[in-house]
Amino acid sequence: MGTAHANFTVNGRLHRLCVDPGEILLDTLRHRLGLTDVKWGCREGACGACTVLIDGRATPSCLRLTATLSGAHILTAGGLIAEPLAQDIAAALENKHAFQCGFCAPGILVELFALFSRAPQPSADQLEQALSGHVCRCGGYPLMMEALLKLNAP
Amino acid sequence: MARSTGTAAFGFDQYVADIQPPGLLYAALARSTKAYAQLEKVDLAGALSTPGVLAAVDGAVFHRKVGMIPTSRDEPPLALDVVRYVGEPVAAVVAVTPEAARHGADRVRILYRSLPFIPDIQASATGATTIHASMPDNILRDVRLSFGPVDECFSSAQRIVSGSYSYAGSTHAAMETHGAVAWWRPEQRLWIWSSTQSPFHLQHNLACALDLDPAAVRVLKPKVGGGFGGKCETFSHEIVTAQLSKMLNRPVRLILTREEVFYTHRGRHHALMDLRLALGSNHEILAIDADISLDGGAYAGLGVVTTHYAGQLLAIPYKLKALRFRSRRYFTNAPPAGPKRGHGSVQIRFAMERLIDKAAVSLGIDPLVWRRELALAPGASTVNELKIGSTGFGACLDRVAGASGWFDSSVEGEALGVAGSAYISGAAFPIFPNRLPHSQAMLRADRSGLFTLYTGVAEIGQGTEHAMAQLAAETLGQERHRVTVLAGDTDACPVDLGSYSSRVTLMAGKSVIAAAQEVRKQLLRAASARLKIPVEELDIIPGRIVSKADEGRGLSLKKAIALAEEQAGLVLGTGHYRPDMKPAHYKGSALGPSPAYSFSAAVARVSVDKELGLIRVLDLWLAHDCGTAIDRKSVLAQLYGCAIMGYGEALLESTGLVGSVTDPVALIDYGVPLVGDLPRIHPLIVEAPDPEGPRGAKEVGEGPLLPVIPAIANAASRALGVDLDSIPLFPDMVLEMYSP
Ligand code: FES
Ligand code: FES
Repeated sequence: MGTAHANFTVNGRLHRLCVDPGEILLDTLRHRLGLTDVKWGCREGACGACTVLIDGRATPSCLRLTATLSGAHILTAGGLIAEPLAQDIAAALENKHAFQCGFCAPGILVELFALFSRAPQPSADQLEQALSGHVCRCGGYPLMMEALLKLNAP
Repeated sequence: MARSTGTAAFGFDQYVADIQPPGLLYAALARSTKAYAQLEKVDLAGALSTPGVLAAVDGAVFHRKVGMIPTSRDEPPLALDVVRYVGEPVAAVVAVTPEAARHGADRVRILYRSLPFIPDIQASATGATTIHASMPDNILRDVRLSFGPVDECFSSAQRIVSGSYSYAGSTHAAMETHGAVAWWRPEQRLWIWSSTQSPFHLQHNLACALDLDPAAVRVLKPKVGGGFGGKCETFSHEIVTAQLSKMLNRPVRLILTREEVFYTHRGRHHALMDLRLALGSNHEILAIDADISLDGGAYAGLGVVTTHYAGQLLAIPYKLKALRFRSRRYFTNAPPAGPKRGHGSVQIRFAMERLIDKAAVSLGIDPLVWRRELALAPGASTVNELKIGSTGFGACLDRVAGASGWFDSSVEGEALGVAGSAYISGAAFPIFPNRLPHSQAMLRADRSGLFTLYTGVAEIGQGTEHAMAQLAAETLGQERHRVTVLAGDTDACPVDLGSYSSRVTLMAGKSVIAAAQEVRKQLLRAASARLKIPVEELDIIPGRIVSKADEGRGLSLKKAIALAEEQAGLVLGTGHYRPDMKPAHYKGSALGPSPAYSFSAAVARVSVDKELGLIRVLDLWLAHDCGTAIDRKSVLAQLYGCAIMGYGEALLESTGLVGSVTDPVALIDYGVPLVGDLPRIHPLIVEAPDPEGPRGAKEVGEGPLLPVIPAIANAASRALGVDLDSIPLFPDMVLEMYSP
């Protein structure tokens, strides 16, 4: 195994990896790099739990092959810790008690960070669209929407 | 910039898949592809020759069958001689990487001799084939109970209404899949991290399955990414990792794939229900007569409990003179069914609430007003001897009526539907009959000024740890952040039976308050001695103990703790709780009684596309009597969660009406509600404090789900003018029931 090369940064750190061509980014991040802040609920693109930023775009990491990502800049939820915007979003959601089991939270934070980065005051439609790829089985959606609409009010 | 103080959003929380002891190995399961077959041969050679594979085992390594209920342990950890459902674990492979384990498991060669399988209740009832030799009629449990003069009620009834109802199976679909990390330690003890709702049951069941002393088993429950009942039972992957770790003396991890969860889940039982109501001249319910058939799948699990609850909880929330039910749980060749949020009660509640609406139509009366008249009074005792304490049922109905504009004239093309329900706040009697406390807690104060609460509760996302810290802090007169919770470790924490039957808030809450009261007393005593003020004249306020008369006189909490330590050593309080109840004098009376009952009501506003059979829920008002809201935000979160899960169950979700092959097996094919699907949800908190509850609190995690489904079905039935008596209300099924 390990026949393809991939060089990219994750949370600012450069990695040069030799990977199996079929390896998905999710496994690279969790198993190879030990980034357990990336969660997974399906490994088939259906739940959004594994979402990371790839060059600023929120993407389910289970749907990307690591070998195709040379040159990319990847950020995980844990990598956003020093971002004031991410702190604002997380605090607003926590304040509404939007997360219960919390398993969907890192993926959702990454998604919202991407959204607020390009649209600092997203509309309800934009918020819904961003959240539409994320399953929260605990049913936090209405509380998330409430928290986020308040956050974007100037 | 605001600062996040939670641990979830940035991914710091550790779930079982994030636990990585040194030298970790990985396991995978080979599963049956047949619904029912003899195992001619399980050939492990291919697996053993797979690079990276260290060992492979089949069912022969285990000597005991397992199961949650001592009287119905019918499940081998790995199939032996026979497989009874698609997805049943047959062999386990352990390897140095997860990929190697998977490859190895795929190379286990299983030779089957197929048997005619039983896809559903009807086929099971014919008895043409048997699934368990010891159960020739394919019935796990046939419960027949009768209370009060049922036949008289029916013969003297002013009116009899009846209906037949069907309710599909569904799955919990917690976002975290199940998994375990087992580590047989050099000191000859087993440590196991598992995504479980009941660590102490797991400890006991693992010890039984592997012939270990329970004291040799330490269960560690990390963060759990949702349960909803799906993580109550003890599972094959838990037993198998433990066994493999013991064989290899190394830690072993097995995390189920999403597909595997559909086989393992112990989802809602598919149910067929016939129901009759005898009504009196004043529209009172004289009697209910119910015949309930449950599709239990291939093994017993907790099915005995389901079978009883299905009938027993018909006695609430309405007044009746008599109740009779027959409840049968059939074996079929489907993955075993089990507890899901609202265990045992959700299906029959749907049927009952549909029938009440049908009766209201035939009587020409308002179904909401009628429900209010039928409501059990506080302190009532039901025909099957359930003792009601507080009830806010009437208030729940009033709240949803007011908020939804129930009595206002309706909009063309839309309809409102209502439903009510009640649920237990903890089963009064444990699964293993004994007189031990159901919950115990220990609270320690240390000289730093911090309180540590040791409790066996299993946080699965419902906010239990938060609520327990809140109760301890309130009792101590402190802010919540002064209390840290240490839970989920059977070595460190006193026993709590676990997160099921909506028992935790009430039972653990009572033991936590008792523990905190002891600590409070010790601190007051120490302060009293130093301040020379009698205990009764002292008060604890955040950070201080002060004289009630003169808040200026006092000392810091830290000082009080230090003084108490000086006087008597460690400042420690303990508490425990066991419901002070006795079963009634009939067989089966242990299932149904609870120290307190929660009540709920829902109103749904729907519009229906008659061409497409598409039901759109526009609004959902959901009122729930949780006794006392210990933490309002958590209560609201539970109400939203129940509303959305109920909405999904009513309209979007089904694990397949035919159980031979679980269908679907991918999340993408299963209709979990997403953000864009939702109605406007209006949660309404009702508080009718119960004398049995901690500060009057009752459950909120499960009960509010119950009325959501029938409220939607009742609204849609009104909109179409037909009886929609089958769940889920998929468009094609709606069209079938509604042919204009
Ligand atoms: S794990 Fe990637 S979307 Fe579900
Ligand atoms: S908080 Fe549990 S899945 Fe979202």
